[in-house]
This record gives sequence, structure tokens and C-alpha cells, in this order.
Amino acid sequence: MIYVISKSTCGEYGVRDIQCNANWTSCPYSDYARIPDELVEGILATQGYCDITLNDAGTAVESFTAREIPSVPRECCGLNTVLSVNGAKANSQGEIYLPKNMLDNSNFASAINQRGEDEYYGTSGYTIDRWRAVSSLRVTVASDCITIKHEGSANSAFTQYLGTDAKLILGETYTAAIKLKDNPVVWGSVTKSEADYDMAITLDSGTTVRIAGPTDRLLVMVVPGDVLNIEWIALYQGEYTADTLPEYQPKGYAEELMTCERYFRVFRNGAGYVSASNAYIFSPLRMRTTPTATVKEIGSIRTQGKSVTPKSVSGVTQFAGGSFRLTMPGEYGSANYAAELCEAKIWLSADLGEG
Amino acid sequence: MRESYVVYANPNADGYITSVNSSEFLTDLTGWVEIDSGYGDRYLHAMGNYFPEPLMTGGEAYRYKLVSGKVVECTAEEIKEQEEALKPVPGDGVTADDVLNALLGVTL
Repeated sequence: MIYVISKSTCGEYGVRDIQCNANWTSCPYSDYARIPDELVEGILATQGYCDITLNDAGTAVESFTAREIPSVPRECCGLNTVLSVNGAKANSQGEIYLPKNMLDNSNFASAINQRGEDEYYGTSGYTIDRWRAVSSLRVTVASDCITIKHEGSANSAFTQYLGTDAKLILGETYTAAIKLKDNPVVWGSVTKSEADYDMAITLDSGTTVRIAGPTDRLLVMVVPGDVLNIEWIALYQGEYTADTLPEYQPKGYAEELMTCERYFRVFRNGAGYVSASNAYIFSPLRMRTTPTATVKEIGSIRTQGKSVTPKSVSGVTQFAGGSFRLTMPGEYGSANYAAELCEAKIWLSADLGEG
Repeated sequence: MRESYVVYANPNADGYITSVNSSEFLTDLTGWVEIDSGYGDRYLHAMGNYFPEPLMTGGEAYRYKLVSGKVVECTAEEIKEQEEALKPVPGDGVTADDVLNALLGVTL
């Protein structure tokens, strides 16, 4: 059954089943079967109407009130603009922002962890992909969450620098939500004003989450002695209530890995050529910016029937097509021979930092 | 107050800059000379972003050098001199052409 709201020649609004009578005749509506009031109200509600009163027979709309929607036309026939989805408001153009988690690698039950450590501690640095720990923060990777523990004397933080397509907008409200293990989801909202360098959201659990700008970071502030077992964390544009807070949706491991590899990846093998004193190893990989190479294991360059240990990685050059080249000084003999880098472990970082 | 990233250059014995990196990634500063500091990718990821051109030309001449602690761009003449000095002297060793000719049965 397909029901439409129509206006008859009598000037009355009614609900008709279009399979019943293709031609709108005239009052009364005796040709139309009664349809459930809830169905009529539901249809009208999605079309922007509220406070609907049906006639006694349930076959016509006796009265209704249209919602006030600036710049959104109200029509009696056909569908109006949907007003809201899960609490996300329409802007002045009638456009809806569907809630999207602004954070990468936010599902800690299945965290992307290319650096491969079970635990991170010490001087400030990156831990699991996209998340950076300030000093004195011990980050432990478990199968169902990550544990962050403050072991110092000053405030510390677990931080993600927001990506270039996730900048904070002046005047907009943002909601951070955190799920701690064995605890219900907690969340808080704050509006970014120009004067704020950072916006603090104190969650019911006592945890403080800060959204900082203009450097555009989200920080989970951790006080000395704090231990947080975090299953997931989300940041949404918009303000939400208990009824409208979006259900957390993991992006999926494959999508998260693809995103994280724009910021960090481990380079192990590649091919290229040598000169007498340099090996040039190419890769078709594309990252956020020309990465910094840090050697964990230098590997070997196989060329001209021999194996040569490079001295270092002295430079990285990214080309317009997205591929890049590592320059590895060493003593390679003759020039212009093919070469292959084997069994290396070179961290390539294009991670965000202080902007 | 947030700390900026310090950019370091690694000069060879002749002062030519062979590598660039930042305080974010360097753990041992032996042989490194501070040349700049700032925020953003140019300073954080200085290795591939600080200079507008790669450190070496296609002929493996260095483009930049340190003079009295300051970065100076090498002139076209300096680059040409470097590239000439790097060209192999005939008879110094087996070249790729020698190997190819040997494979083809060409007698030199």
C-alpha cells in the first residue's frame, strides 16, 4: 500500500491509498478504507508535520501543524526534507550532517598497531597508530581495549592530532564519547569559540577530554595515578542526548589500516638501482606527506651478485605521482646496476604534529 | 607553551649537507648541526620537506652546504664541478657497458 497526502477539490487534506482510486473524486472519502492512525501520523511526521488530528473515521486529516523549518518548503504532496536523523540537526539549508566519528583508529578492541609493541612507555611519542602519548604515560595494548596509565607527577595525555579533513569549525558544537571497560558509555559536548585554545569536556566518569585548537587535537587528559581501560572513543560534530547519541560504529580493520598507512607504515623491501655510493630504492606507496625514515633494521642491498649493508637512509624523495624513493649511502661498486633492498625494517612516518 | 621542532643538518667533511632531520626523530645528535626551528611538516618531517629540492642532483652533486653554520645553496658551477669529479675514470673498473658487451660476445 502506498499512501499519499493529497488535497481534494473540497479543500480538505486527506490520506489516500493510491491503489484504491487513481482519481481524486470528491468528498466524502467513503471509497477509502481506514488506515491505522499511527501509520498516517508516522508518514506525516516524516514529512515535517506534527500534532496531527484525524477525523473520526480515520480517513482524513482534520488538522495538523507544520514544523517551522526556515527555508525548507512545506508541501502537501510528496515528501518534504527530512528534519533530523538520530538527533543531528538540519542547518539553514535543510542539510543534515550524519554523525561521523572524526577520529581514526578509535576501536581499541582491534587497534591498528603497526609499530608492533605490546607496551609503549618513556619519552613522548607515537604508540598505536595515530595516537601519541605524552611522557610518563604507559600504554598497553590488550585484545579488547588499551590501557593508559599515568606513572608520572604531572598531567599527561593520550592524543590524536585531527586529520586535515577534520578541522574544528568555529561556532560548532562537538561531542566526545568514551567507552571504558566495564562501564557505560559517557559523553559530553562543547562549542568551539574563537577565544578557546582548547575545550574541556569532563565526563561523568571524571575523565577529562579536551578538544584543542588551533592545533586541532583531541586529548584524553590523564592525571597521576589514573588507569583507563578504553574500548573505544569517538568525536562527533553536533550535540547529542542520551536518546540521540550515535551508536558507535567501528570503521572496520581494513579501512582503518588504509587510513593509518597514510600516516605511518613499515617499509621492508623494495627495488631500484645503485650508483657507486648510493642505493636508490623506489616504492609506489603514497603517504600524507613526504615521510621521515627511521631505521630499525637496515637490511641489505642485493646487487651485482653480492650483498651490501647500507650505512643509513640519508633522504626520502616523494614524486608527483605519489611514489617515493629512499636514498641509502653505501659502497656498492659499479653504478647503474639493479638493486633490491631486503629484510629491512624502516619506519616511515608522516604523522601529524604541532602545526 | 608548545615546543617547536629543531631542524638539523648532517654535513660531510667538505661542508656539503648529506642529510636533514628533526628533533622529533633524532636520538643521537653526533655530527648534526642545528640550522632552523619551527612548526608544521617542513620542520617536523624535515628529511623530505625542509628543502625545496632533493639534497642531491641526478649526478649526485650536493645542492646545499654549510658555510659558517649557515645553509648556502651551491652554485651551478659548484654542482658541475662535483658531478665532474664523480664521473668514473675510463679503465677504473668494469662498467655496465663492459658487462653487456661481454654478454653479447663483443671483443673490446
